[in-house]
Amino acid sequence: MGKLLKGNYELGKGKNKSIKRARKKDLTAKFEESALAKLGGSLCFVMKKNTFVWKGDEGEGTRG
Amino acid sequence: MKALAASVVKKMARLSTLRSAERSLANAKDNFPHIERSLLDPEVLRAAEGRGSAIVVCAGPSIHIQNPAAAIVASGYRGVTIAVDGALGYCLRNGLVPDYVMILDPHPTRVARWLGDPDLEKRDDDDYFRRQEMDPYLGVNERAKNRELIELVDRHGPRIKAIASTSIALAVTRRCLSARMPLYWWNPLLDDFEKPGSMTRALYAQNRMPCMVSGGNVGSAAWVFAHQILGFDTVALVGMDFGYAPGTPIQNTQYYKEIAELFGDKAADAFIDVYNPHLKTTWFTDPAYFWYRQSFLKLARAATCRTVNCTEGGTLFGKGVEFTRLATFLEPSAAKPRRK
Repeated sequence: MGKLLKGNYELGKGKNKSIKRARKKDLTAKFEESALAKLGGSLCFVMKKNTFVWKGDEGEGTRG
Repeated sequence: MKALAASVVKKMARLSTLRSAERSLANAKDNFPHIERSLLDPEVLRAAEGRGSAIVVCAGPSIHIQNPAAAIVASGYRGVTIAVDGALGYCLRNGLVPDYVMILDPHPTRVARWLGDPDLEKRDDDDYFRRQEMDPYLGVNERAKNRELIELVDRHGPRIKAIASTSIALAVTRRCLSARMPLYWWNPLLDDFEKPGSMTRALYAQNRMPCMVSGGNVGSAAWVFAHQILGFDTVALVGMDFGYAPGTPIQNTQYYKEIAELFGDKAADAFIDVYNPHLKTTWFTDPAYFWYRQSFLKLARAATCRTVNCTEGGTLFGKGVEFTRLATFLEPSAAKPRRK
């Protein structure tokens, strides 16, 4: 599997180790984040260019 | 702010997405057969015509200290009242029948309790209502209080317009229908609708309901509804604490169980003290509520309405928000009735 994933070029020994470390770090961060998600708010939200209400793109019909 | 709290606050937007997005989208799918009218329906707008201003009644702990419902009723206030789901029981018990109730949280069981849950006795025990500070009345003798609330909501439901985010659980939709509350829907703006793979765009394509900024919580959504949809240029807030009163045990706060699970004996470091210069007291909050507060202040600065915080408690103050007493706002000259 490792052979398949590494592609068709040779990686130096040190680089391989640092990629593994980065992957491990990434996994740990993801695990931590999913545990911390319990502390998230009721809903995610974003505000774009002071747009409070979006009714679709022009020509799209919003239902009344 | 302690380093632990600061690191969580920094991630809060992402954590809120992880916590709620999947469930919100699934709920929207379940609600689809019930989604007919939107919050732009003429009936929604007509009910606000000529009413001058709006008061949003949130469920922060100050409502149980200040009792704003009694003051609003006694003043003969002629403006519009919008209760958030968690404050509906409090309003009805105190003689205030709101014009609208805003509902948003996608939780599968807890939100139905704010409207009186006919299935409570079939559900697994949940100690949330015994711990929470939003409506302590419901936390004692729970089943009897739930029955009382069902009766109250059934009695007044037809007069209250439910402004429902498509993210709410089907159990909540059914509860609104059983109480004969007219439902008017909206989609929450979950992400950037201009970016590829946008959840908001997918939601809109599915049900064609207008999409509105929520601020991440029901109180902020009710405020956005008041000025952006109903067109009021003066919106007052009560019970908008975004925090906890001095002396509240941290065990009685919204996220304590989760905070204790995650941080153990460092749990206290996740809370944030906020000195309120208007009250000259220090309130405290948790990362989610602090994020709501900061987000609200950003929204308030971007809005064209006058926002008057009459909570008389809490952590919400700053540029874009006037902080005053409810009695002052209720004086006829202070509400400045104008509509766009």
